[in-house]
Amino acid sequence: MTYEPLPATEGPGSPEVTARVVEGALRAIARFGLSKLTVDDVTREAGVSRATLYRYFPGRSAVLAAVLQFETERLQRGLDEALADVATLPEALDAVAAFGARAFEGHEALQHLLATEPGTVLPHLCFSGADSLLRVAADRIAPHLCRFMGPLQARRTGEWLARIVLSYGLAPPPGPTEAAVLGVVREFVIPAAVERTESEEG
Amino acid sequence: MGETGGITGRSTPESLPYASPVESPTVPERVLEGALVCIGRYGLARTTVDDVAQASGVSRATIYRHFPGGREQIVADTVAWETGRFFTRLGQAVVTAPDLCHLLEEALAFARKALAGHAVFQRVVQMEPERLLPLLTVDLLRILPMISGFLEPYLEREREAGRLRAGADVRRTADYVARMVLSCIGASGVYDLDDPADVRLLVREQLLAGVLSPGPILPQHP
Repeated sequence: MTYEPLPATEGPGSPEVTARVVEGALRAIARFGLSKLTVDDVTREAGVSRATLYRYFPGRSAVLAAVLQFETERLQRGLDEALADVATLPEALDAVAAFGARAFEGHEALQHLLATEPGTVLPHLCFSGADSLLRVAADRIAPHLCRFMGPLQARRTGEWLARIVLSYGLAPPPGPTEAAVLGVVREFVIPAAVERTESEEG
Repeated sequence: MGETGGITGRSTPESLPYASPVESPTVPERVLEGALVCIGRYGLARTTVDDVAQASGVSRATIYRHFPGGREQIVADTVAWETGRFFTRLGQAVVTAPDLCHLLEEALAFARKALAGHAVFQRVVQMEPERLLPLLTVDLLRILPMISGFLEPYLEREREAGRLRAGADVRRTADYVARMVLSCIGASGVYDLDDPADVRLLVREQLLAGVLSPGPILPQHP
């Protein structure tokens, strides 16, 4: 078992090591799934020793908890970046939808689990899991839409976009999912949102 | 015989698994009914063919003749069958709605209540979601065309009345609305779907926004 020795400056609190373990775990999940995932799978993909991993994480569940936290933060950053340069409401809605669809479709670990071990992820994406997810999505998206509409409207619109991403992500139509999501957002959501804000101003 | 739902009010028995057009249950239906009872009692994982034989009054041999895939097939088919029945009941409950707006409002209210009151579903989704949800996801791929097919006549009627957004494609619109209805039935999110006022808001402000042209049915100012 080979491992890379850490440079002397990195101590037990190093965020780089945490990031490496999390990214290694994601790669391992994308390859081996979740149920049979071992700490050794993770250390191999991460290029760290077992000793190092256990210095940072008490075990497998702690690694998975860190993965969830990292992914949540990464998604938040990605959303902020996607909306950084938008000037109009249609651009904002388009950007949110495109980001969401890409994040879902392009997430290798998620897609692997959906295909091979759906029981592990579907509880987080359906029914009560969907409820939580939609509320989080509404909370995260709303601030970006507040410049175009009131806060309540912003939450409802954010949630609606998340519903669309989730529906097309879980039950993809033939063809690329992102195109289908954007098609629907452009055909139904954007015209209505624009009409609503215009009638509010008028 | 066999028109899709909508204005005529007839559902399509052929599109549902094991659905018989007459009242008395067929042998497979008796098995499925028995299996549903067992699943409600013992859950998905622990329901056995013997349990189903006992609950349905059908012999093991006959059960295996109809369900050669055994326990796994019975469980999967029961979920599919009950899902189909749920949506048939939903269609029947709302088929006489005067227009699309009211249809969707009634559908959401009915579906939320029916789902909350469905004891077997509630038990299984809470205790064994990892087993139920993969089966349901497969079923929903089959249910989506059923729902959008049901909605198409209503959308046509809106178009004939001049209330559909200009240039709307009925089939694409029906697919979108069907998906969003399913989404709302499954999770209420920021809305309180037990509150009729919130249901109205959801239908008029989000579900039909961009589908109907703004006018008397949709509020101009929210």
